[in-house]
Amino acid sequence: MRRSLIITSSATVAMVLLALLVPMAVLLRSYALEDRLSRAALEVQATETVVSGQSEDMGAVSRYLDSINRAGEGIITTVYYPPSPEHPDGLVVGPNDSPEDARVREARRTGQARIDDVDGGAQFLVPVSLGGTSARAEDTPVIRVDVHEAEFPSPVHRAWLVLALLGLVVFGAALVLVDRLGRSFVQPIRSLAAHAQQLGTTTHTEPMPLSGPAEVQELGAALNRLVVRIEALLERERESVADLSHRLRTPVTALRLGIDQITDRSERARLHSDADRLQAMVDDVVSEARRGQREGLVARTNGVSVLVERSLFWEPLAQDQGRSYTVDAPGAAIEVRASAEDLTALLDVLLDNVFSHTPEGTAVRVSIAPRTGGGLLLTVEDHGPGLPADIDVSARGSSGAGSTGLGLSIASRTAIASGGELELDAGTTGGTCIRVGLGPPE
Amino acid sequence: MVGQADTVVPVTHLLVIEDDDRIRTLLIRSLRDRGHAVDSAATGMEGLNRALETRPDLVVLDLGLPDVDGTQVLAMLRAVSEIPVIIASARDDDPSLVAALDAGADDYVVKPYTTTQLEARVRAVLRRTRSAHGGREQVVVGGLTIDVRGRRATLDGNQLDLSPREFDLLLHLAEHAGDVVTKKELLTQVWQQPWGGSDKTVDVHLSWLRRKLGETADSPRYLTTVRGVGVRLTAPDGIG
Repeated sequence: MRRSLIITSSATVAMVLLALLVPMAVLLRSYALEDRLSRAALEVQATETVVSGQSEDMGAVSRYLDSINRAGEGIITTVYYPPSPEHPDGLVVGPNDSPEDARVREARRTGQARIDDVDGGAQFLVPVSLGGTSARAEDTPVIRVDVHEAEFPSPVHRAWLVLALLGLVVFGAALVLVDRLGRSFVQPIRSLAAHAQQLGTTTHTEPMPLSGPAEVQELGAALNRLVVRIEALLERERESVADLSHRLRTPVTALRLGIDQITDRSERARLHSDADRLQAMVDDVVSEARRGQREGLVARTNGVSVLVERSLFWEPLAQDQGRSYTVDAPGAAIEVRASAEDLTALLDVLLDNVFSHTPEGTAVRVSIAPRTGGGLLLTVEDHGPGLPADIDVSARGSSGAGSTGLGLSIASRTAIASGGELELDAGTTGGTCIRVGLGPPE
Repeated sequence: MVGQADTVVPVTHLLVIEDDDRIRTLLIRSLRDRGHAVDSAATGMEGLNRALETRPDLVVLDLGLPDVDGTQVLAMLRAVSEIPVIIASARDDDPSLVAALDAGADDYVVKPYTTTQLEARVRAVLRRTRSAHGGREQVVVGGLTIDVRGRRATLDGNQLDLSPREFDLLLHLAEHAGDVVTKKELLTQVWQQPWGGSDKTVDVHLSWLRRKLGETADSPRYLTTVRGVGVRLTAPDGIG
């Protein structure tokens, strides 16, 4: 945002400066030329007076022209005398030693003054009437004043330089101001984003101090109100879960105590077994209802360290049972969207299955690897007889080997909640291979 | 009487403080069936009065009482009496459990429980408290010494680094030294999880315990697996 603001503002300020400075530079140049033309006109008048007054004394005219041409600043005055017996080719007095051209002759012939635009400036041609009876057009001297564009460096160039510097200063100052303005917008928004990001990572979030533009403060205040509401909802949920736990477990207790009263041993055992399954489901419901408490708003765990630690927890049992037990894991941490508690429970379910359903001595391999698309891929593979081909991991309540049948469905739910999946497959060596994809944190 | 209790238990005077009529009634009936003298109260204040009037051997206390929270009842009771108390509550979260134990509870059983499970807890607590009053706070099996109150265990004088669960497991096995203890019993008594728990959970903890006791399943010293039945803790030959 800050960069966009700077780019947009730079473009705008640059356009405004160009729109102001370019016409100003052109105007300056025009004024300078007009000033020079005015001075040239004055010089023409003065020279005309000198030439007409000193018609016989060429030396006086020459001295005068030398003096004005020295201080001319781009204005050169020359006088063209017509051919005479002393000067059959005519006489040129002044610094411009080029012979008279057609325009000079034209001015002399017509007796009309003229101004022509020439390369790099303008040219005045003014025929001077000497008066008297002998005055003929052919005898008329012509004053030529060349007005050139100012050469570098000139006052115009200096003025342009000042204008350019002024433009740069204004441009730089505008950038600094815009950057400060951008920072005053962006900083509070960044703080707001950081505050929003860390929501849920702590059990209690302090209200965010409000700063920055009014709109950002309004947004911060709205976020603070939202946090208060979410915390109130979470607190209400905690109370509700505690109440749910009480409401579900109390009647099951009564049920169990009632079953204890049954005298028929086999009937009592059967009912206790049914109550076991009921209790496992109640525990599952309570555990699921507590997910928010376990994970907070954002579940985030280093999956590698939790799974490696839990894998190693099962190693002594593998050794006692004479199993080859391998744990492969990357050295780097991989964050996943699940609580450490759920990951531990997930791996316990998978390894419990392996240890329960494969003969002692069967090799077990646990591998953890980065998953395509983020998160990690946990693979638990054994060399045992394998699971039934038609097993549905999402099925609930189906019982096998005396279990409540919830294990794999709970593991599958943890995987799906993290944005991943659980797949059963035949292992490469004929046993069972369970692959659990765990998604990255949001 | 239901022929469920295999262990002969001396007559014990129990006070059950429980607001749920159905549970209270069933608990009184089943405990009486097992030979205990049972008194009961439906509220915290009534329970407190009865405890002070009748001086029972042990109180079974629910936390979710209608008038006063069970933790407060426990604190008030502890201020004037050392009667052993077992908390029997649906609250299974750590803060509730820790608060109750800190307030002076001797044990904690989470609903739903069975009469057998509660009775086993009662026996264990009474055994511990009577041992403590009699000056016995240790369980010794061969070179293994378990400090019950200090929750420490040593093997041949060397302290064992045990997790809380491993300590409870070792203590239960040591209290039944020489007997084969089933995994179901361990799940019930140590994990308080007679349903849904897995034998493999017990197995993996037993493997850790073996490792810390410096033995293996192939070369057992203290812990012997009786295949298909359970596990037994005995002093190795020539020790103890």
